[in-house]
Amino acid sequence: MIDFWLHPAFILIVGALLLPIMKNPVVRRPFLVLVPVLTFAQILAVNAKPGVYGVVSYLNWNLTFGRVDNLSTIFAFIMGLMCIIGTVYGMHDKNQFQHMASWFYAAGSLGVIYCADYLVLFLFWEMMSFGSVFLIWCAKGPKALKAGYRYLFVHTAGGLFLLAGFVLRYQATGGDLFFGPLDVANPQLYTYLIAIGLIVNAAVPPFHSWLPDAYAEATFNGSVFLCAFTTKTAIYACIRALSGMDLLIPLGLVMILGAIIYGIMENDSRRVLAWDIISQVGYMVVGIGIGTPLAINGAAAHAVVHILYKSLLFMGVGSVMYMTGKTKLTELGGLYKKMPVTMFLTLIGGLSVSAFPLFCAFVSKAMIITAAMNEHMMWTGYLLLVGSAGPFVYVCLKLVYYIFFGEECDADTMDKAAEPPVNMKIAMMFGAFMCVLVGTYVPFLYNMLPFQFVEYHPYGAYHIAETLQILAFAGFGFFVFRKYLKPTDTISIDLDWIYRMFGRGFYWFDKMVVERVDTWVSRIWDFVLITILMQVSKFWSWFDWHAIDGVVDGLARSVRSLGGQVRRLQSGQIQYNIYFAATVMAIAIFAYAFAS
Amino acid sequence: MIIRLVEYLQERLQTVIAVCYVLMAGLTIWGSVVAYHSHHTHMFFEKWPGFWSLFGLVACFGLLIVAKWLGNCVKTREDYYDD
Amino acid sequence: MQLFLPELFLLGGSLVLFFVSLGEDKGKLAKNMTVLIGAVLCVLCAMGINQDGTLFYDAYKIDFFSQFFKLVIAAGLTLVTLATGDMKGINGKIKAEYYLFMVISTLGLVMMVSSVELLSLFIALELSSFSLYLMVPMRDEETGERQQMEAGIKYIMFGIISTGAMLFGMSYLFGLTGSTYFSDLVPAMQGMFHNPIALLAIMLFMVGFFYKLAIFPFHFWVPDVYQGAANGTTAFIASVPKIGAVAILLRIATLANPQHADWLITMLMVVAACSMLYGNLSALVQTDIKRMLGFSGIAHAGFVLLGVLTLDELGFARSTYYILGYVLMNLACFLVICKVSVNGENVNRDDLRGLYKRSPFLALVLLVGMFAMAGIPPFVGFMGKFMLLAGALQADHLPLVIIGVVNTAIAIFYYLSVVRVAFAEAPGDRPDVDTDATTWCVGLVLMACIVYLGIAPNQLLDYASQAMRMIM
Repeated sequence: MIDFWLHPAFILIVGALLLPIMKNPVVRRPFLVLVPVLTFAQILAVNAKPGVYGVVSYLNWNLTFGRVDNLSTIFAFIMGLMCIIGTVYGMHDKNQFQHMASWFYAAGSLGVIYCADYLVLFLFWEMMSFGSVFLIWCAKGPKALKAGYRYLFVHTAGGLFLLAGFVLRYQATGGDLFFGPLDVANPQLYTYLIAIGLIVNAAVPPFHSWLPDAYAEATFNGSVFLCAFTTKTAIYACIRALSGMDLLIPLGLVMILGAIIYGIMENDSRRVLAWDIISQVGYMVVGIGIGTPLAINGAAAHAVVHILYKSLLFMGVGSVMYMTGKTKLTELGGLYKKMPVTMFLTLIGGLSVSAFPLFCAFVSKAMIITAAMNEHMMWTGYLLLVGSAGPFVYVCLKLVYYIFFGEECDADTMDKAAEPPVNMKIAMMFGAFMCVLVGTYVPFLYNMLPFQFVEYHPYGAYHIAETLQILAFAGFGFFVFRKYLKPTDTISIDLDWIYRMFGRGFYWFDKMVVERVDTWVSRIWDFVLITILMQVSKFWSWFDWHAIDGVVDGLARSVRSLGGQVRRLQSGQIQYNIYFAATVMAIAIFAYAFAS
Repeated sequence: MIIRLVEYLQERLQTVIAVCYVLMAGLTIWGSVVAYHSHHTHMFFEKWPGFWSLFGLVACFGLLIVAKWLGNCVKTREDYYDD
Repeated sequence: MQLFLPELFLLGGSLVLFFVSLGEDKGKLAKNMTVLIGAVLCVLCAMGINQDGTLFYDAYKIDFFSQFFKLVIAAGLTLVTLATGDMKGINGKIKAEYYLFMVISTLGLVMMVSSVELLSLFIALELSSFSLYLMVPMRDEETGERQQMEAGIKYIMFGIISTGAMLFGMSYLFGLTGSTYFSDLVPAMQGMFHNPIALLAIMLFMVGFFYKLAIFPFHFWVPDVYQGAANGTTAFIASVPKIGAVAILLRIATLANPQHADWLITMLMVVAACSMLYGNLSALVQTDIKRMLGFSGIAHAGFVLLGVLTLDELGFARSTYYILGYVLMNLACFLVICKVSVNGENVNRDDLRGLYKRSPFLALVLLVGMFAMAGIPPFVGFMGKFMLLAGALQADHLPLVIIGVVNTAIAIFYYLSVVRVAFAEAPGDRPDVDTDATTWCVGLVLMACIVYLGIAPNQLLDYASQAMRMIM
């Protein structure tokens, strides 16, 4: 490193640290915009010059903070953009700590994206975990509290897997900390450990339950941040390390289809979106598993696109929640009258997620499907196509329909409903604009993709026709089935049952067993020590009173008390017997000592 | 404006549905005849006319049916976890 | 004379404090005196850091090891007195006496790290301990709710038992080698280390300091004493004596011959693992912050042992680094506790609600302290844990490393839950917390140290290694 390389995350961190000083809204609001914009500008500046920067020699290691290459640039770009959108969306929120947490969270993500060794990766990985858990806790209330703890539990465990993996790898390879492609063809124990650590954050089954659990409990703007950073940063790390790992293909397919099914059953609007994250991340995971340049391009493109439309959807639902306080589909309906703009923008998000032509997902999702077909993975390809019918049904139709149309909700909610504050609308409009821009002006996205030599053209007539037919008839299917799909006021049991129960059991164990043992041991010590102490001192006070004072005060009293003692001796009270014996022994010892 | 548009469409719901049916039919025909190009297909059945329409319908039904069936198994009351 | 200057100064200081205590209501004066004594002591120790020599028929050795620890103890005393403010929980009438005992206790510790002979070591230890025993019940009646009496008794009782065990161990050492001087003991013990009695002797000797450091199973006093003693007293007990205890523990560890020390290492491993697990698991369910910190202290002590049981210079240096870091993070937390507590009563987790609004600065100090304790980079707690675990891994203690890492993960939960309450909850009707200039200074110094040592540990490690070379 010759010249000074300013890490974009550094701007966010400094901004977050300065934020508490900005108490006056007149200063704070511009500051809230300025910091992410500066960060984004710095990202653009950094991306312009690929190379390796920020190499720091620390203890015995060379740590690399800045690896700017084809892959890191595109992810850093979208994360920086997302940070602006998310901050503007929540700008009016007075809880500064939440802004701090979200900036630290975003900084962690940028740090992961630019780093080139496992130590720095781990550092920023944990920064993301801790930043994000506070976004959940900021929602207050017992449910958010518990969800936050579960989230923390899963991510701490994931972090430990990652740590264990790279430490083992460090030992096995004789000191290699470089974060790059792992030898997935010959996996070792450490490969699997690292993979588990990474895919926990990508919500790959069986480590996925934390996502709907936590994202549905965060604040209205917290979940906008959450939906963008954790899983997509994990996808970035997986592209880096695990490209071509076959195991990821079936796992990704399970994610896509399983999450759609759970999403269809779900009643909470943010949980529906959370399930859709898993489903869409599934496409990226499949892409990583396929591992060809086209598939990796597809995974990266889909990650970018997914951040755009999913944050837009979360912003839309968040606006509804912010205004009405409700998230359940059964409690909402008919809101288009009060929130037409929100409805319109959310609908754009819905069309984007469904991959309609001219909307953003259309240009990215097909890349992964084509990559699968090109590799002659027919089953994978067709299952991916089945999955592409899903989002239209349960996000675009079900979610939008039951929130904004359908049966009108109760008068109280209807009264509260109105268009959200202007900054929220601006953020949503910008998100919607980006969705359409990426969908229509293809080079905008394609010029950023990691493998530039791969040619792909999404807007072929056949592809458009194929997509439209699938979507139209899936919509028809929903129309036919709509009576059976009415949301029900239920939740669906998932694998989080296991760790919810485990957590409960552990807490119970801790509370009932460990703490009790502790108390009891203390009590035993108390009993033994204090009792002995008290008895000994009683003995000496008795000795003082009866023996020494007795001698001084007079023989008569001594005799009388001795008589009393003798009587007690007869009464069979064992403790006095013992004192008596002990006194005798003490006198005997003294006598012996003096005599000899 | 948006509200008026929605209400305009709602008042003519039957027409909207009819237009949708026509569009779907037109789409199927367009996809199977005009936009069809054999070098895009991967398997023989993709050559069948209207294949993708059928595919979309079956995919949707399949997902909905599995969801319905699974819902009977795993759906539970809202406060299941709050003891 | 020059060699003994810090001790003489402390003696003189305590004499002055004694005269101060004769007056009425001189608490404020006594506190300022103590700060002054601590500050001057720091200067004296820093000036004499490279001194070398022996005193009192070679029973008292001044070298880099002793001077290093003296400096740290002096700094600890100054910071504690500053951080605890005006000792709200102490009975106003005896505040001057309280500071007197605090200084005498420090004197004991300062003498302890220089003692290279068993009897003088013992006397120094007792000098320090008895003053501490007296400080615990000096809490005033209202805030202590009479817990301080129970705590005081418990503290003394455990102290006596562990002292007894330690004396027993010392007598074995004397019986085995015929000497009470470390200079004779080290070669003699290394030579006969295969002898089980030698192992027993060292283990019993260590017990005395396990007690001070609160290591399982000699930790039972910790939660009650932490909870029962006044906030300031707990801050002192939790920090300064532990530095001395680690110093002597390392000195004792040099008696062991690393070639034949399998049993000793196994014993230390078991004790370390139990301390970590027990401390962390118990801390999870606490709501009283001091009690929680007490349990967490047990876990941290377990981590310190990770360095001790490698029985080499680097491991010892890392342990030293860790305990220094622990003292800093602990003081950061106690600074907040002392300020948040209105009249010196105990602080519950809920009392910290919305601290970020009531006092943003204290909330930041708390955040740094708790994150550091939880072992989150870039703070000192992370670096310490990381190096200790790495050292243990290099020494092939894999099971212990796993237990350590799992414990780090458990610990994150209760530390973060405190941070969560302070930041993510609404303050309700809890009053704002005033922060005076002293608090700002101490808080800034502590945070700066915690961050600086976490980012650049090398310098301190070098000093610690240099100190360890004196005793190896």
